[in-house]
Amino acid sequence: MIAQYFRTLVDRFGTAWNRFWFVPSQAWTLSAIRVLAGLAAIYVHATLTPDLARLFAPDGLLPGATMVQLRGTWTSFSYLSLVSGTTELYAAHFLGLVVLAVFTVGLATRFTSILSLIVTLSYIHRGPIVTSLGEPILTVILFYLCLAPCGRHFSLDSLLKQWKARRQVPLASTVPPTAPSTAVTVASRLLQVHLAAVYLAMAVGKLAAASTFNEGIARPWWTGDAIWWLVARPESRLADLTWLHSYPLLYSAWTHAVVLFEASFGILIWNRLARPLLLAAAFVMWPLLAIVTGQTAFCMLMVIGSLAFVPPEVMRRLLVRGEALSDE
Amino acid sequence: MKHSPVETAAGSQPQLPSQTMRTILSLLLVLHLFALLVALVSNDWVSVLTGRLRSVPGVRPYLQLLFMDLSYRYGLTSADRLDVDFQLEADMTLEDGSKKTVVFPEQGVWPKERYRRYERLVHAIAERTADGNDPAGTALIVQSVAARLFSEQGARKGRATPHRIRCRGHSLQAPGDVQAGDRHQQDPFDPRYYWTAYEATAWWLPDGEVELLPTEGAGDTAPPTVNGPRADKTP
Repeated sequence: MIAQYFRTLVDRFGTAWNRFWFVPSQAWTLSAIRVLAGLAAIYVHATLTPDLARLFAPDGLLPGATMVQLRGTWTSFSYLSLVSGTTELYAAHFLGLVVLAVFTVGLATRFTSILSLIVTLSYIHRGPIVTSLGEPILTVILFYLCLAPCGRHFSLDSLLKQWKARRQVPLASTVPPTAPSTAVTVASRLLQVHLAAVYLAMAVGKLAAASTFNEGIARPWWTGDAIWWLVARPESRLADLTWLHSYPLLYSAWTHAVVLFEASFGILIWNRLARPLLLAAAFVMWPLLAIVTGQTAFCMLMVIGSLAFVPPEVMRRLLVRGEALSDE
Repeated sequence: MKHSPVETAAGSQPQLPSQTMRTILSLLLVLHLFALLVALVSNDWVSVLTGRLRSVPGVRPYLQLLFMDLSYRYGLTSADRLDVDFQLEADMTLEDGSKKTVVFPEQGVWPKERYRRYERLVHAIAERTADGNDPAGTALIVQSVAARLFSEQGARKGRATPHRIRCRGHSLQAPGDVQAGDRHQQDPFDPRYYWTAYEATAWWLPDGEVELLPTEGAGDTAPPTVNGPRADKTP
């Protein structure tokens, strides 16, 4: 009887594992994420342009030799470390921006997705001390996009493919459908699992956050003060919401809502009924958090990453008007 | 939401990859997810087990190369005294003998991503000073930043001209401070909201290096607590 139980357990687990990871799917969602993540990557890297020499030049704030000493045994690679002069630094920077732009528009996407990841990681590894919360999420998204044909839709690659198909069969009204791909499923699932874990970790981080200052222990995410302490940082925030001081119930409710949302997202996003609600909440929660934290890129990337939970068919219906491109 | 990647094909017989391919992919997936789990559970709090898991060959280099060796426990705020914005102030004597105080990061840097990068750099000085574990690393960052600021402003070089470097934390207003009658208390940029986390005398040497003499006990300065019903919580 026990042997039978374990046989059934293994069988069902194997079936569920195969279904979860390997059933081929379409790339509509990943293609949309590619465009948005590409734009976010361009934004993050473009904001480096005015400060590039000040940060990374040999006489900059983060000289290469200093970073080598600070990194210690951290494994890293950055092509920016190979660049010596300011002119070369700017040349490498603009080349990186071109790579990100080409990836965003979806040209040679399988190749440029890998290059985009290398570009992003190079900046991070060159100056990990100045990275904020957004870059780790960006690398997560870009890494998983490398694993899948994320240039199948909304891309120059797909336009070129259609153009070639129409040249071969001039009278055809539609182009041949693209077959579902296991690589898309694997990449989507990895992104989903990783993001769910990030959401849970963020909730745990908030619930564990404690200040031991002034001989007392304050747990702002428990006591409902956390949003106030974010609002009270005048240099960081995007907008002055200090008028909230008159509405302690409001910032307290907002604080608890953030924790509840993050903890729920990590667990309930796997429930089909809860998924639309949580995705809608993400579209509200992250922009609001961007206003109080000033972490624009991070909040933007969390929204983009959360889109991984939108099923490909829903994404297609949302974004594609003509049925000429149907894959079915 | 009835069409997830799995559910779409669940009704029919999906075209799965071959058994061999699935085995290889499953192995790679398990390895990747194991590495990810190690990163999540061993970065902030380490048990004997998770410490051992971190030392499994290949795990750390793999995670670090992908910049995934993180716990992702983004608390956003813990209302701690270090959980505030920091700025570096440099009182320097310029080549022409005039005095100048420079604040870094500069006010009004836009977009916020730019401000954030600079603030992270100064924040690292405050955090490392508070930790006290790596004074050499702290000095390295201060020296790099100071050298750049001295160079940008045209500070005077040499051992005869000492400059001052301060890393200051900007304490936050409690709700009670905002509605207080005292206008100094209401002003978030009032000097009383700033406290010194690190301070040093710096000399910009002729070879471009910066020599530091940290002020003892500067980082021990308690942040100011101002009046108000919740001043005891002001980080």
